[in-house]
Amino acid sequence: MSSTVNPTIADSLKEYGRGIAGGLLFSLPLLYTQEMWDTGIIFTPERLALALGFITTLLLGYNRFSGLHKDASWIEVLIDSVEELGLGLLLAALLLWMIGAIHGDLSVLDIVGRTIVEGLMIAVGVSIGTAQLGIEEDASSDLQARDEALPGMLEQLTLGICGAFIVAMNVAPTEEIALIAAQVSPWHLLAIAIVALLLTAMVLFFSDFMRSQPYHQARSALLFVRTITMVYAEALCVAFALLWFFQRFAGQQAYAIISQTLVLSLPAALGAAAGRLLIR
Amino acid sequence: MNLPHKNGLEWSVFALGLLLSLATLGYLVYAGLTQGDVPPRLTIELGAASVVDELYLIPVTIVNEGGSAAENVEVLVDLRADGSYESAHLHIDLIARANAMKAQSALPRILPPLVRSYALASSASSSPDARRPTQNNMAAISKSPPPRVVGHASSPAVTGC
Repeated sequence: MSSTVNPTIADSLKEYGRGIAGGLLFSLPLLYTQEMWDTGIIFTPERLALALGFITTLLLGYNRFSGLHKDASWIEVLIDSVEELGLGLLLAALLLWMIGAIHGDLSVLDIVGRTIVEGLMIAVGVSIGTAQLGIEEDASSDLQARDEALPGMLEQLTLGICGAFIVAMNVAPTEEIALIAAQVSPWHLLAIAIVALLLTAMVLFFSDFMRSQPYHQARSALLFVRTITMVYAEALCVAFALLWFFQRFAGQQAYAIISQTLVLSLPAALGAAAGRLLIR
Repeated sequence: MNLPHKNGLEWSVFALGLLLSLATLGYLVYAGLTQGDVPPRLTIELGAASVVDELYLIPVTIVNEGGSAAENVEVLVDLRADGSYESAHLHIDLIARANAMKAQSALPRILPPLVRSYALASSASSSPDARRPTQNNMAAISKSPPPRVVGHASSPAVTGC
């Protein structure tokens, strides 16, 4: 799983343990969510394949930029991503079977659908768990150097999308997003957008969040505006993509689509901002 | 090409991951090519009615034999007896493809039960308008008590993805 030189079996087992713990930590609420099970049944094979492709890309991007593996070759990144995807699918199948969400009465496509929908989130969790939950005793100076440097644009984007996905995914499949969007006025939606922007600014610039020193030290108005705008744009894109993926826009007017996207943009923005710092 | 340093366990996990990922993708391609966009197809079976107090309890089994899941299925069980009319309404959120859902409807007992007929309606759609059964998609199933009949639901709409 890691690119450590000559890892022992014990080291590997520890890494897999961290990965499994991370996978469950991030995805367990969704494993117990009826809407997620239904999604696996309703989706066509094409949509499931699209989800598989998106998560594989996300894993490749995250593994490329996370932790201390920035010197890793693309083949290492690819191998790690395949391992995590396989672990995610395997864990999802086992856990769904354990809680009775997949059983012999379902068709093969429905079993595969449920496993994919749940497994993809677990795979991202495995990746983050492996990269973030371990102790890097020998690399403290490297870690410090990394934390003091402002991440590159592509790295920020990748980590932001990953963070937004992890947080927004927990609520995107629920009916409540459409319910809230239908109930609130345009002023409420404006308030949601403003709070999302304020939260982003607070996390990255004003609250001494872990690993936020590069943003504090830059003290540039341009960086501030650019970062906040980029984070919120990412949040809107991730929110829109997730809602589209869960078919929340079917038969909806433009206003309803915008409202739902704005409602989901709040958790997505928080995830995109915190993701830049916490899952590096 | 320099392969990363990995032990046997890590290569085994990688091989398993590769196998699972490719098998999943391969199956999705196969399913996409062979199944196409087949709409849900619902059939409804009424079980034998039993009498409990002043109610008829009628088991209803809805089978989805189509290639897609049916969402928001509405079933209307209709009881008519010599000018009297009672109906029971069932709502089922989701029936997976190639799967069945069992339910039970309760109808008030109409006396004298000279002639009873059961009419069913179902729809499969996420459209709110399609949730309301209409006269057009009601089908008479049986006219002689106690009923043990097989009927079909008419015009289930497609739940698209």
